[in-house]
Amino acid sequence: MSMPKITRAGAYSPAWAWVAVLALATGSFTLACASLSRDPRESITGPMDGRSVGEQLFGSGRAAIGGHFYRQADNYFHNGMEHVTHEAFHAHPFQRLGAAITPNDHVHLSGERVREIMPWLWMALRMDPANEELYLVSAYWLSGGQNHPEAALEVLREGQWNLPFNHAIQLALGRLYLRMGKPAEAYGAFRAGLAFWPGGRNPDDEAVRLDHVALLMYLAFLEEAEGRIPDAIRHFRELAALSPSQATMAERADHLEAGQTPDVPASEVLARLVHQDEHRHGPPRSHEDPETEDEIHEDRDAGHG
Amino acid sequence: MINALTIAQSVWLELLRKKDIYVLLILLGAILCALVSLNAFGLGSTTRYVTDTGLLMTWIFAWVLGILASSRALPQEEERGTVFPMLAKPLTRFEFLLGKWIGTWSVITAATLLFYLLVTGVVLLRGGRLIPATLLQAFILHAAALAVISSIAVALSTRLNADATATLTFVFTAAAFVVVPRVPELLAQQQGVGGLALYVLYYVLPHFELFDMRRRLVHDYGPAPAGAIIEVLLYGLSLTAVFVLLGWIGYRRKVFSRSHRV
Repeated sequence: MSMPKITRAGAYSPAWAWVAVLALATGSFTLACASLSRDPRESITGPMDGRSVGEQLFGSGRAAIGGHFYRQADNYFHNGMEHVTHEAFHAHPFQRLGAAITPNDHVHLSGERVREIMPWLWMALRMDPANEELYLVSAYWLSGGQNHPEAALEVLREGQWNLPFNHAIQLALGRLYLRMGKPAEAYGAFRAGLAFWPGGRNPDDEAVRLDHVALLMYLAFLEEAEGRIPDAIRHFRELAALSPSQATMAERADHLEAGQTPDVPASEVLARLVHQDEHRHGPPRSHEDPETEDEIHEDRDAGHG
Repeated sequence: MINALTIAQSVWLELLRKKDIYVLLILLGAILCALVSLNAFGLGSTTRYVTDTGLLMTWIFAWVLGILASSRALPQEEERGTVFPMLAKPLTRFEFLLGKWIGTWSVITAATLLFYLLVTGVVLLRGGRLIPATLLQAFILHAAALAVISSIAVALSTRLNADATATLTFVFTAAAFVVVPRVPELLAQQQGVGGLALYVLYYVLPHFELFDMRRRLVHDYGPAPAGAIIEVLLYGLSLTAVFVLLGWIGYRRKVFSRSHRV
């Protein structure tokens, strides 16, 4: 009788299986990162078929991953605190101990420390390049807190590329150009934004309507500053028809039609608007500091004659 | 106790011969290198995301390594048949069980220490900083969590084979990690039988979130109060003792089958 083969139980080390699995995971991750850095309009199968390699690999999961990275950026802005949700009880010993181990103080990062949220925004953008809010938020923090307007411009240009005919990105571009002292480029962006508005969205939506008001306001004052009075009058009248404070805009249009110079010149109003943008508490349409019409028209009263 | 430590020493030698720890260490290093190569928007070095992701991977790797090592410790001896000569010696089953647990836990903790050193080194090289006292507290609580995890796996392995033990321990601890911290939030929306089940889970499953100091460490909150640390350590010690005791209860009268041996 032949002896059965003697084997030592556990002699097979799963280490090489580990290596294979982890190498596969690392390779996939690397490939995904490389594919995400490509132009999203190209693909490995052929040019301009509208779907990137990353999208083909992950599909709609990219948006979910991008959303996770965006929430991480938000958590980091709040110094690690996650948004408070309604809980059935609050004073359990486990919760008390947990709060001692992991604080949940409502703190906002400021100054240089805001830089820590940027890698998460960057990763969110790579994962979800069709998310308009990511471009706006990233550009806001880059141009404001981090004082990197060139980087903000790059982000918005990328947004312009990935989201053509998007009025919100044109509005943000225009504002940024104004802050950079480029009124001609700003004018082009605002005109494009107005042409794209509402871009398939509900024009009665509050945020969309406010964008319309902002675009008209910037265009009107820019045109007045550059001497394009008929265009400025037309946009002031259009603004007056939209805004509840219509009397002020209509008054300014009347003054311009009569050939009068308003008390506060358009250039000064624009400077105040730029200053307001620089000292905004949060990015556009953030849940903490939603832009209201009153804020857009903060310097409205300074514009009437 | 000497016998238990001798068993633990043999576990050390066996686990160090395997390549799992080194593979994970290399993988962690590769992930950290990929992270530090990221230059978001050209802003230069930021380190919190490196610390955060590095510590997250450390927790995941230690969790996986801990369960795989602990779930094999006892069943391997039975499959090889080496449990028979082992228990023929003046060695109680409790000492044998305890030695296996001490061995696996200490190896996993040492591996985790290496992971922490790697993450800390990368963060410091990138120009970041980690408060030493907080880092030490975080590691100690992490080691306590690993003690609980390994005790769960060893306890289950007294009655199940290695694969079943690993699977069950993964599910059990994953549920504890993911579900338990959210129970207060879930209970706000769930009533009746579902709510009762959640309450049961809240008390039965371990609260691993108490051992997790990553947020405090990453966001520079400073060291936790000593009293809280001691309370968590006592909680971990009691959980570990409970599972080791349950394992001993399941092991002390177990009849070993010789059918798997040659």
